[in-house]
Amino acid sequence: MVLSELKKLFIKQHVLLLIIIISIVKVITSLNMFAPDYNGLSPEQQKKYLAYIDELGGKLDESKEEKIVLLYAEYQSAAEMLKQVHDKYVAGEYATSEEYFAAMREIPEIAEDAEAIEKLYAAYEKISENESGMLLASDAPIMSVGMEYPLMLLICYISAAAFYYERKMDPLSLTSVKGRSACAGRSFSLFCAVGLACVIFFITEFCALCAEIGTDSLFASVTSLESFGRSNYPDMNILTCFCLTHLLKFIGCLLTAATGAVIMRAGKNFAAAIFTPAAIHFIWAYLFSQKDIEFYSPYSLMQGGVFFQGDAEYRTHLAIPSGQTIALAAVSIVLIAAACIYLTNSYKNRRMRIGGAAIITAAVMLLGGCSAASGGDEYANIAYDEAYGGGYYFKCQDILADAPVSDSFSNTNEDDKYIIGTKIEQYDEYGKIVCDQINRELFTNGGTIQDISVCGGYLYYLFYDGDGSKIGRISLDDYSDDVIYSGGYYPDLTAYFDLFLFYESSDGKLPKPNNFIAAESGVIFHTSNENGEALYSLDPSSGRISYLLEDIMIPAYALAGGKLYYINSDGHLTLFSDNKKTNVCDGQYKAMCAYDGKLYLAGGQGMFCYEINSGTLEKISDITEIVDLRIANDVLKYKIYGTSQWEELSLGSDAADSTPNATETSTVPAPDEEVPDSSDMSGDEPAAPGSIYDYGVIGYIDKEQKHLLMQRRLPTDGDPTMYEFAVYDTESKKIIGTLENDYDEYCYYDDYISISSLNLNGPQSETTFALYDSSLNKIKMIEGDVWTLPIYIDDKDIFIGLCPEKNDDGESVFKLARYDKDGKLIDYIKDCDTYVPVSIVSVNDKLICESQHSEYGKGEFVEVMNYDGSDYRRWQIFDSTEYHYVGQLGKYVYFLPNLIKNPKDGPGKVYFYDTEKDDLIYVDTVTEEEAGSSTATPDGKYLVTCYVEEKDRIAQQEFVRFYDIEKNELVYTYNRGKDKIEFGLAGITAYFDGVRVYSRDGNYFLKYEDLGLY
Amino acid sequence: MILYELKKYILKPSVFVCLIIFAVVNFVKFFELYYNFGGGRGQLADNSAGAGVIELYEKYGGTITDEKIAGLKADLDFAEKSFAENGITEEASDKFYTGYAYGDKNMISAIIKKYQSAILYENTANELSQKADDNARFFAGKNDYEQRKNELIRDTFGGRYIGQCVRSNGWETLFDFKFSAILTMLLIALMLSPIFAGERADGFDRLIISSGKRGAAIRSKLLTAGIVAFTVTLIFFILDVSYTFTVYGLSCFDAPLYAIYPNAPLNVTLLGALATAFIMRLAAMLFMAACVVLISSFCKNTGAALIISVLFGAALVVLTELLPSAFNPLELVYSSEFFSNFDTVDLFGLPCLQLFASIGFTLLLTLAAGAVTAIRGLR
Repeated sequence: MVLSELKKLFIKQHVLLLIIIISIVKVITSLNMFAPDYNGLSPEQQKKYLAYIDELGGKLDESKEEKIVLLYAEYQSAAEMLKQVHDKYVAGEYATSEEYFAAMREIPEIAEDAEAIEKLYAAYEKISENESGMLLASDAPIMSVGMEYPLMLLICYISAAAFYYERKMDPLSLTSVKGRSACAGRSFSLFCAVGLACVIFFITEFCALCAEIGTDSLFASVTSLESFGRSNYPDMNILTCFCLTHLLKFIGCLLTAATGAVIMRAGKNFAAAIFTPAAIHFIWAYLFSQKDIEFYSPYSLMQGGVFFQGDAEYRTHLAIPSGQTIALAAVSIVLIAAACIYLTNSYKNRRMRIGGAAIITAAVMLLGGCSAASGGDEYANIAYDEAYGGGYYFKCQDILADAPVSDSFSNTNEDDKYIIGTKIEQYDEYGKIVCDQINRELFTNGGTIQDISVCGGYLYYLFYDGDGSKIGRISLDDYSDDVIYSGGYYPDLTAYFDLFLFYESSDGKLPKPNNFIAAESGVIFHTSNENGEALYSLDPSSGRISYLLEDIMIPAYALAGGKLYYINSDGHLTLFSDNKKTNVCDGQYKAMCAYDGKLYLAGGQGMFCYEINSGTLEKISDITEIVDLRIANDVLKYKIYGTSQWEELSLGSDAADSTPNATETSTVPAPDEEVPDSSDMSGDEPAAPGSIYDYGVIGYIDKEQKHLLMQRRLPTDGDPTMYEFAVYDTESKKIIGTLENDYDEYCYYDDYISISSLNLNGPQSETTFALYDSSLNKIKMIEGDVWTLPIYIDDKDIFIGLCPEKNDDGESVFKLARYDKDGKLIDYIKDCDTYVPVSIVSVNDKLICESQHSEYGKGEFVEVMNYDGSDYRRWQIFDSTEYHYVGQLGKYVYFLPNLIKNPKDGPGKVYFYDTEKDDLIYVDTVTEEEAGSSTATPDGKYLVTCYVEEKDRIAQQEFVRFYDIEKNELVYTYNRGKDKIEFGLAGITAYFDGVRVYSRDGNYFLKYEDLGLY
Repeated sequence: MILYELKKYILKPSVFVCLIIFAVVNFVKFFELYYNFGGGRGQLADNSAGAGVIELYEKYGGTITDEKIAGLKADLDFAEKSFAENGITEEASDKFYTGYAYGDKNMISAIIKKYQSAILYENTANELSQKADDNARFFAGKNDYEQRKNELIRDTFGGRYIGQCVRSNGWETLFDFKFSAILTMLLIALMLSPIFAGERADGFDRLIISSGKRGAAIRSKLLTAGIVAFTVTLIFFILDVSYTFTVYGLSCFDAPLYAIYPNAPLNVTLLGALATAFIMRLAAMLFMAACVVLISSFCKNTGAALIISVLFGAALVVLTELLPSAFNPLELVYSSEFFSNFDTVDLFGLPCLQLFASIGFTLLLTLAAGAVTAIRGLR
């Protein structure tokens, strides 16, 4: 029976002929299959390399190892000499070319064999630890052929044909006593056909293997082969590995054949029986992005060598565990056995309806795919302008030109050159450039690449041009470039063939990526929307995006252990999994990156390390004001607020290894230690520690003007930004109270000071302030309702402050309000929809507010009113929006600009509210610019300004001017003339006896007495 | 038999009425787009500017010569000086093409920009060709497809030259106008739905089968469908061209396509591009016709065939958003997309312009639909 079935299948149904044809194809293609690959060596270097292999290759012994090591040491020494000569040449240290050539002649010739020796040594290092390793010449992809598609198609056909043409014999089989054995025989024939094909393939590849490495090397460790260099079976020899590879392939082929036969038998559908097994291999392999799904499928056994390579090609870069391989083989054998049983009895089965075939097909398809996506143990952080991966380093560089490529996209750099594109450079691990530009897209229209990341054999990039942002990827194999996602602005002027017209264009038809992370499981990108910020996942194969989550702000996000972590708008570390958000640990953070089972977090309290598995949080550094974190090439880098360079922190240290490089932005710098000697200086006085000169002057907090409130910013030695307030008693001439606080918002009236304690690093949802007396002793804390700028009116025991609310449209509006002594709202004084107070002072039972127009840029105003809002007056003091210091000195409330961003040529004005005249006055300054660098003397007599007259970007003259406020006239000009002042002035503070001028090249003190002002 | 089919299903008063109504609707839509987005609102309010623009292009459009360049510079100087002296004026003046110094300044500057682009295009194209050549060498041995694609780009862009200044908004509008495709599809559905379903509904299908002329009947129906698709597409295409010619004015038919679309994948003239656009639309409509006929062959009555055909057409339209361009027959209606981008598809390692791949794929689908219809026939 078996023989007749074999004859029917092989001869009558031409299966033998098909096998022969496929085998011939296999032999022909195998000729080049194992062609030697010397990994890019030039022909000359190849010859040298092969010469070394002839001498030192094969099984390693002590003498050979010694020779290789000596050879390499000799080469390194020569290479070092070459480098030194080259560096000297570049530095111009050779007086003549003869000297240079003479030096070159002294370098040993071995330096010329760089490539050959590097390759030899790299091959040696790979197998040096393995006793059974052999040094083989070629990098040919031996035993890693993978899926044999012609064989697979052949099997699909013959398995379907084997039972299709027998369907008419079923009634005969049913009545025959040998029906079962006929079916069994047919099944066996089918498996014999598959076996024959597999044997032919085995023999072909074995011959090619022996031709390549020789029969002597068959028992060398499989790690001797380049493609198995990372094998997780280092003790296995090449022959065993080869046999096992083909055994797995054979099992996979049998399973494919069994599948086709079962479907054919069950559904009686020839096309489905051919199509379904083929589809499993083709479609599942190429359409689904979860590459590791294949290795959970029994059908992936047909790939053979990948189960032993230890580096599953370019997909997971992980070894497939042996247990998994055995399990897949076992499952396959069980399935084959089940199929055999079914086929043996299948002559009895009536024709199944289409539904049955469909169910079987669907079940088989699912089995072919198998398992949920594994996420993998991957770590991925936000892409930057450099990336590491696959043993290479990649860097983005701008391409510059004198003219833009298009009008819509014409960015310039600091040298006013137009950035017309970006190139991505590729370097090897030694820093040698491998490729000058791997991105080769021609039609970029001047767009630039913003960020890059390497993952899974691809370099992903974020490309930005006038149309929006695109995410693309470049294969590191063949540098082919695909755009996998386009997001951005698409004016919805028309839709669907002009059928629907939208007269107003709408933004963001597709979310526009701002940044992204690339991981094995796909790409996650960040975008902005009307609700704040959102994260989407992107399938690189299909380009489909899925919404993940959104929040008001998402300062940072990363993948760790296959899960998505992000910092939410409250600054909390949150895990997003199964569509749920879970707070992971305490603390509030601003930046994060993931690496090696840990999350590195930076916040107001320092830098922390969160261990994902154990859930422990550990402080690793006291550095604060970190705004960005990243891991690059095993080095943790961080960026401090206000700086542009990255600092490094070696992981595992308890304290920071480098000091922060924060830019000092305090308006009250620490007392200087040296004072320059200038011929024009009238004298200077170094500030004594703890004295009034340590602080900047704010104003008097009482009507009698005995208590002067001052403030300074504390030096940031690893602490968060802190301010120190002090009250100076003008009678005792002493500081009578100090207070450290983390925020500098304050109000004062009638010997009471309210100071906010707003945590800048936390959510902006709560205000806490404390009420202090004139000695800065705390009286009480007020918490709860959201409001700011609180002034305590002692005789009424109420607070007056600014209260933000949401109107019907959800927009923020402000109102001046009265609160009781516990901070509970009493009533509203005034709506502040248009003019929003930013500073409030109270004088003579009046509120004097310095306010900004609700539309930014529309001006600054002074508002004066009674406590109930009556007797309201308003003046405009500035055309645009600037920040002003407000306080009372003498009889004036001053409104001094912090900085005037775009000063006009010509005179300026500084405004004061005269508390005696109950009116606004001003002082004309010589220039508008100096108004932005001014102060007033504590008695309110003089306005003091400092100004640098620049020429050709080099400061020429430094002026300090004194204006009589009441008379509105310039009374004194101090000219610190110097030929060259490089950095100009940083600020000015007026004290009782003189003025301290903060100059970048040295501070100095001007006494009023010396200037004849008092 | 073709004539018989035409008389029975196509050459009917109701069809002509629909054709006329659709032609009017087409014009209304065209005009709406022109009015809201083509500058029509401003030009109709004050026609002097519109006439001035036409005059400017008549004077300075076409072949670029040194005399025209000098003339442009002189006119621009005059407009700039007048604008500097008088600023923005409210009353039109005969001294200016557009009636206003500001308008002339802008219009002439725009034309000068076109001149510059045209003159510099040769350099741009050569640079691109050079870069493509470099890329081809880079990809040699690494990626055969990319190498061939870059060689194709090198050959396409090498030697390009624009010697004319083309007024492009008419051409761009014409290549971008897709609404007539919807009307064409609707008309095809209306005309061809009863071609098989009507026979079934009337019971003539059995007669045809028993007559032994089944094959001939089916062939004639298929040919009729082709003729209908061709005719309706041609009518609406000519209407679109005539609207554009009337409203915007079309000129420089012999100018190269890349005078309007710098990255055009074809080295054809604008007239050639017009023909190509027609062929693209025809391919898409033939596909639609084949599908309608196929649907009709399944349906037992005309109403069902019509509804299903219309729904199918709607689904095709919606799918233009979702399917990749190369596999979407209706994408062929977006001529401007194909003309403005140099896109290729990988056909067994060979780069094929997406335009041709789409046309080829669409025709294949059309043939497949026709074959299935022919096999099914009137069964």
